[in-house]
Amino acid sequence: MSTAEPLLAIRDLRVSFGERTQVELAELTLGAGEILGLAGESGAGKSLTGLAVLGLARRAGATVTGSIRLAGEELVGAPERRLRLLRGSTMALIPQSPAGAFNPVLPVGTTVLRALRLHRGAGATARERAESAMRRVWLDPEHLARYPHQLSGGQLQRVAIALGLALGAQLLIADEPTSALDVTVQAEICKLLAELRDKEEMSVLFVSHDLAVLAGLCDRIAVMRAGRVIEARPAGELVADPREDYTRELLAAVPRLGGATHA
Amino acid sequence: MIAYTARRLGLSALVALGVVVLTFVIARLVPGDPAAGWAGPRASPEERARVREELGLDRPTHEQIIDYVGGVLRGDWGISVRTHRPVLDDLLSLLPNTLQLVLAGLLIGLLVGVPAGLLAARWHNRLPDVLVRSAAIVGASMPVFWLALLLQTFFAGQLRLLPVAGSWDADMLAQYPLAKVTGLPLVDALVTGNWPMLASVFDHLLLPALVVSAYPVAVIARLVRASVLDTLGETHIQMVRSLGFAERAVLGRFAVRLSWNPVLQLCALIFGYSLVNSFLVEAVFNYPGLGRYAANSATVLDVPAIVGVTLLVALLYIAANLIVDLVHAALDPRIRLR
Repeated sequence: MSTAEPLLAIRDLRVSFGERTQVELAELTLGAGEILGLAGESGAGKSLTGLAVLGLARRAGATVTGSIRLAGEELVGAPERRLRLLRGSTMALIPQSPAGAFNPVLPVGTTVLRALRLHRGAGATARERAESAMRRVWLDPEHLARYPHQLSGGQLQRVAIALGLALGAQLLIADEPTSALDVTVQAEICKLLAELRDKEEMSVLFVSHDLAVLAGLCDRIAVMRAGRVIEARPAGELVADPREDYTRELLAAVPRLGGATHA
Repeated sequence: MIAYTARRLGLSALVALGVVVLTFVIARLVPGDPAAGWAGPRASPEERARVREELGLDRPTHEQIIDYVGGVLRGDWGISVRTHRPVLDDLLSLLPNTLQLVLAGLLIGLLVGVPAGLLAARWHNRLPDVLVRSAAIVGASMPVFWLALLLQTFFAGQLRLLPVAGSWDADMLAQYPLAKVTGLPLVDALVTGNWPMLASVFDHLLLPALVVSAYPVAVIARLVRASVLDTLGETHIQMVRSLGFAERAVLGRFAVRLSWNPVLQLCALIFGYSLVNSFLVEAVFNYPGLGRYAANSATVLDVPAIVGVTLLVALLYIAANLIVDLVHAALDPRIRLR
């Protein structure tokens, strides 16, 4: 993190529903070309943090205060019109369940092309951009003509990533992107994200409850509990030498092959 | 797909047969003598008996039904006791008017109902939603003949903006004869560029069509609203929101696609309902269609005409359902017809 300002800088973020505060983040940053893992059990506020960054927490009925800066631009309190412009074109969502992520009665390419036209205007280049993005996620561009039910979960997840790439997003917000996939496909998606980070300086906010997945992929991991980050350190360090008891518990819960889980 | 269509057609033929038998039997059970109507009020008992024999009314009902079904298959739907013309000719000359009325109502239903449903979903539980829902209750529950009388009294009677009754201006027809292309007067006037007649037909059609459209508008708006609200929680909607689409596009370009199929299914139901509704509307507006014909036939117990109208309506309804099922597969790729 040598750059002056990180791509994403969250400071004093508070997301609450009425009186109940769900997320309270003192500080969280994500640099360009970095994958940041957001770990923690269900209800810890990981996904809500992702929604807040996308500017979609407000429409879910939450109050958002504090500061979220994306490439130097303040998002909290920004007008909806501006947020809509940023959504998709600079940050994109990789959803939890790829099976439901695309409109079931439209070919997936239709969503991609409509989004491209929305952000980049009408033009013959939209199709080219879409096809080149498909190749970057190791998919045959032919798949754009398919309907969601004709593609596998892993393929759909890659189309979702291609969507972000085609639009030129620099930040992918991946909300448990691998939880609904089986293990081999999971590994494939992680490999793809790592490649995009290394080759294209893509930044990823990777939300997951699965520390094993995070440890293999992320540069840094932030462990969340009850809406707060309790520990945020480089992934290797955190796994080898957890400081917090809760992190130790999470690590102990990771199943291991060929032996009993350690205490 | 071909096997599916063939099976559906076979089943439809059975349904049509059932309709013929039922209508025939019911018409027989009603007291009254069709032969008396045919022979006229001053006919002697001998003359009536002769007419009865001539019309085959003296034979057992089941033989009459078999004869009738055979005739229908050959295109002979019997002779109307009232008009003394072949029933099929009568029906085919009136069908376009009724079809025009029902289709116009359906078209208005889609053009108004779909946007209204979207508007209600977009402003869920807010003023537009409340207005749409209230209007839908009125539209779906107000009796058509009452609505017809209200509109007739107000627009034709008080404001004198539109004609009270009929299907076109008869004087104008003499001056600008209507060429027959599709049989639907409105379409024929349009494609042949017969502007004076187009205006006349349109003016005469507007009020009846509005009345017939009240129910389609209401139920389509409700269905679209419910269906769109239903999809709002789904991941793909969250996904297009996260792509920066404005809420209007999220609903109008993505969410609404999932209601096309239910709306289409509903259209078949509406078609049948509107056919029956149009009978009342035609009576109020003295609009020359199947409904007025059926009503006139029923009052003199004109059995061939009554059975003919019923059969035709049943066939139309069956056809509408078949078309809907075939289009269904085209709209939703997840459905394959077997």
